[in-house]
Amino acid sequence: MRLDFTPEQEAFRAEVRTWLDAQLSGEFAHIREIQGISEGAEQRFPWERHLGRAGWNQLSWPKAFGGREANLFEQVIFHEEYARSGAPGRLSHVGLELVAPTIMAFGNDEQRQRFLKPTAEVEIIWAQLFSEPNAGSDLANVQTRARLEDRPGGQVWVLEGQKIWSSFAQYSQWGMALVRTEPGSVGSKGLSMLLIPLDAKGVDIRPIRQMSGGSSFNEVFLDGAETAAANVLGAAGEGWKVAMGTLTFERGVSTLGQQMGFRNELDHILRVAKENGAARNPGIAKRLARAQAELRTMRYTALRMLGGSGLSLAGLTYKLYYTSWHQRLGELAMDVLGPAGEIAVPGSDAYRLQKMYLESRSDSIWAGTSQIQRNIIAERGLGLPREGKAAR
Amino acid sequence: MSFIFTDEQTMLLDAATRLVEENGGSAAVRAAGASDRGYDAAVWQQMVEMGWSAIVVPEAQGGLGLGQVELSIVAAAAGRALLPSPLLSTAIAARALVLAGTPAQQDRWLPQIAAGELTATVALTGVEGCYRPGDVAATLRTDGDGYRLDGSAGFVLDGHDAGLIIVAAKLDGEIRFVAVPRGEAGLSAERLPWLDITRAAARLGFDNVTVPADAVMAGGRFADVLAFANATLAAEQMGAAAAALDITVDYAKQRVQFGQPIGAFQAVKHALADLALLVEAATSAVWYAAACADQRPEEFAEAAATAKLMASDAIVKCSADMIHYHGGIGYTWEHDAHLYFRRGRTSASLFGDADAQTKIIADAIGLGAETNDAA
Repeated sequence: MRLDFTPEQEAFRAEVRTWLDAQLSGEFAHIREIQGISEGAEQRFPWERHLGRAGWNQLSWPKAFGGREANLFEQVIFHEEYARSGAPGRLSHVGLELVAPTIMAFGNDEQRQRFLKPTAEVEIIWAQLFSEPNAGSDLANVQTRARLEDRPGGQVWVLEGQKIWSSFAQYSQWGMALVRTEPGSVGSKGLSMLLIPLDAKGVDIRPIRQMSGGSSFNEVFLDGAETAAANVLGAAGEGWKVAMGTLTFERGVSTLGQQMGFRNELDHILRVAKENGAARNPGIAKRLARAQAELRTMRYTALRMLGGSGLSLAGLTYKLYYTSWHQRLGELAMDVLGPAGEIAVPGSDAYRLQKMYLESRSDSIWAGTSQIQRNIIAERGLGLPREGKAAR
Repeated sequence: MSFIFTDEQTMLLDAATRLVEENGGSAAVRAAGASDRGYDAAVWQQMVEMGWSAIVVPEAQGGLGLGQVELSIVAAAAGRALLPSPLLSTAIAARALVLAGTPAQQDRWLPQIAAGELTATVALTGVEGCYRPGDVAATLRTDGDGYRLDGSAGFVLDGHDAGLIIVAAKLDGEIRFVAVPRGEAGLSAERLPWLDITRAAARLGFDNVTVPADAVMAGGRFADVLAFANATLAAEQMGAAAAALDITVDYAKQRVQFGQPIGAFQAVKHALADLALLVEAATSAVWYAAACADQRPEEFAEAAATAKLMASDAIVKCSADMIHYHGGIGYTWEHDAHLYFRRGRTSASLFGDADAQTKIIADAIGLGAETNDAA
């Protein structure tokens, strides 16, 4: 059990930090000003392309796909340094963290050749098209249909249905869609994972305005949208297996970087609490100390999870732990601000913390609600039985 | 950076788990706790033979010179079964000698501790059981070439039985540790009727006890000794919490109501999932603190407080829910759930409760001045 990084790892950290500092004090200095999940897209994409051309987006990928084959600790270091630099989170997250690993795991050589490099360089921005109005937590209830039809150029999949909660679909050129390809099939059988162009006819993308004011989610209507027959990931009919693979990528190394973001948020709240005197309130001080203790604990849970092999109980508990923590942090932020925090102009401390307070309410919903997480922890982690048929 | 045990640590864990499984069990644990000593001397002898009394004693004094990770490994194993022994008290006393003792004091006591010839403990607070420096209720005064010790101490683990007591006492307003051997004139010890029935604690009285000058240690290490005590206790709590959860999960798989195991119902499985979160958090915090003790002394105070906070949360909640999800049987004397529940409460207070730990963390993040009202 060693806490320190090796000299080689520290040298890598210095390389990352030097590069980021140079970029963020030069051409991309303005990028640090951007706050919130979905703001400033027109400035963020050039920055993300820049990262991709420099090789940072594909750090961990195999060399064959243009990556650097960085080991786990180098990835941790990169994500920590990135978050520390103050640069905003990635709009290309879906492509880099979800779609690309899925293509590597389930795609054929042709698909890898075609999609991976442009994904790394953010020339293709991806949307994840899994959820539907009636397939949220119960994802296997997907109803969007796709059927093969003949066209002069060859067979195509023709899609009919509606997807929802698709992050950044309004900026995306491609989508990875879980659809029903066997007519009359039910549940997890008869599904396929299709890669579909979103700038084609029959695709209508409508941003959803969220309770925080921003729009990172979209509804995507598919009304006769087409994609080539070859654009199926894995075998037709094996979409569920592919989707489950994708969902395991949702809790990867980038969680460490996300924790540095949490660190920045907690430091911000601590600063405000010291400045406005809230820290003199013993109840507030105790909650701040607890938030600090839990954030530290989270970091070591993440490192235990990433350092171990296979699916650990630590890994299964991680999402529920950090989302609960983050929602409590939002509440603590508002208590630190007091009623004055309810009045906010853009750019102020109160505005940033208000936004965090509002946005944190989505944490317990996306990527498997807290109730789904508890089912997973109990059934896969603790080995408890599934609920009987009679009760379903 | 690495978060896995070395091969040697894994072997130690396996051996510790075996020893505890062979000697634990409800009847043995209850009998040992109820005995005059508060533990089974034969079990302690086995631990000594495995080297546990020597773990934190430097090699120069006949010990193994190992670290907090190794100590936490055996403490966690013992904690799983609530196996009574003077392991915790003796290890903390050895730590105090290593941290604050003079070379002569270390040479006198540590070899005996390492060899298992001497058990030891620490008396860190008064009879109220709080751990602010102001709560120390023993005082030293000069008397000729030496000193005299007066006052009292509470919640002294194995205090009625230990061969050596490292007493925190005030000398001119500063806390100094003093080594007081069992049987010294003026030293009285009375085992307390404690909520925890698988571990012994005593109240000590000091009535004009003679303390030679060479029995007094350097000052300034009170908080350090408390941090080591909490890091070790947290490992034990984490082991106990994990066991409480495991036992409850097993029961939820076996117990059938409404035609299915109760663990299939979401009302039950979600509650057990929440306990798993607490156990995993405690596990992370405990090993982080142990690694800090050995590798990052500057982070250790906060890490130990964090471990104690997380592990207390885990054992308190897991043991309470252990009672609840066992239903009526969990509320009986025969079931072990109450043993874990009792340990949860007493261990959470011992060496400083949640308020005391959050105070340490608040200090570390620069909120110290603001929380002075808690001192």
